[in-house]
Amino acid sequence: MKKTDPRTKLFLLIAINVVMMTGKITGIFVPIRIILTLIPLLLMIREKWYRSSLLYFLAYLYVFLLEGYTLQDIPKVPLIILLFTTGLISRFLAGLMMAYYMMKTTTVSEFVTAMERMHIPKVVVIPFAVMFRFFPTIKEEWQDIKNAMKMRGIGLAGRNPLDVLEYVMVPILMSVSRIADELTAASMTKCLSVDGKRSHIACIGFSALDVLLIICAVLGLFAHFFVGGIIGA
Amino acid sequence: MSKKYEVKDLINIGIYTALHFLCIFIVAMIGFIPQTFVFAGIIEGFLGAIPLMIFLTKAKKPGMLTIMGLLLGLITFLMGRPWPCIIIGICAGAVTDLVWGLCAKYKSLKLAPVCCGLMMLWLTGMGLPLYFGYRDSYLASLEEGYGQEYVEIIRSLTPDWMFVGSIVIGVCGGFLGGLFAKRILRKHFEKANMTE
Repeated sequence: MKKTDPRTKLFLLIAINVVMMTGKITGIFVPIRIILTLIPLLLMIREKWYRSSLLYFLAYLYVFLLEGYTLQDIPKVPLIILLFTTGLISRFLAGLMMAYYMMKTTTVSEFVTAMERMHIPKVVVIPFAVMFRFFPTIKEEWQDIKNAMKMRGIGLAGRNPLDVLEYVMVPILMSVSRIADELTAASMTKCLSVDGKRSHIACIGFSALDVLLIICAVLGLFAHFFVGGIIGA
Repeated sequence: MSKKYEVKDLINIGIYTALHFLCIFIVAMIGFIPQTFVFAGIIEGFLGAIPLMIFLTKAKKPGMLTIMGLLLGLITFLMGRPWPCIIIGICAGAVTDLVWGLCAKYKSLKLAPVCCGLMMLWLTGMGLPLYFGYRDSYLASLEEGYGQEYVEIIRSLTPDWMFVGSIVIGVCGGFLGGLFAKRILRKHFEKANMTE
């Protein structure tokens, strides 16, 4: 099974976020939104993440079935619940899942290779790659700090928020700066600091699936900008 | 003036940008409640400034903050904001870079909170769809998704002058966060040879 190209994933992420977050939800955008929400779903099924795909599917089923009711006259309390759940899910979930998929399935070397093919300078590519790889690491560190605090019996509830901030931020910052040093050492051994052209073993390229996905994304963006999205309106 | 970047610098940029962005992203979720829409900026700036302060101790070369601004702009763009947010990010980074390099000489602890505040200018890119030419169509699209009342609250909270207001709020938040970080991380700054 050929992997999707990192460039395709990046482009899809932009397209999905633009259309889902800032676009309209009626008229021609109904099929477009359905197509764009289906893309992460299909990609996830392709990776055999059946559980998350099912949850994702159910969430969007809920949104698409109920979203229309927000424009009608219904009592206030259910309306607010409906607005916030459908609004949040429909706007953020597809983009979040796409970002998650991208981070999970793209290795750093693939990403760097793809960016180098696009002739983006190293000073931008390396921080960018580090950044994307780093979000999960921060989450892990946060879990560890939470455990350590629990072990010492330091609870976060009912304290001065500034103290809480200090208790959480200081350990995170300290471990982060240690991780930065370790990463630097690791990348030295991979000769990242050597000038000149690097060779790659990461095998990337566009396949028929990539082309299909890009066409979908372009269609979505086209509709967004020219038929009546942000700028066209 | 121009020094070459080492890998360590590039990795530091990446890591602290990630942390900074995460801090702000968590708070931005609160901003989903319409009444806090504008004022979330001050908390965003406050939290985000803490990793920034540490990053300033490591940013000893011209351009590092500019790259950070560029990255922040790029993420904002990836999140579906209009493209000028990239330029805003770069400008915010460049201004901070100038102040931090020329006025603070990369080590003045007194000016560091000011730099944190200036860096928060990139947040403007996040709120961009609410102002200028984007405003009406953005609000119209919100109306379809969230209903009339939600939009009315946002509309009343964001008249055009609020664009300047949101900048000021963000910068103040960054400044306060910088002061707070200075207090809790004093030991760290002493080790990094930063002086008042």
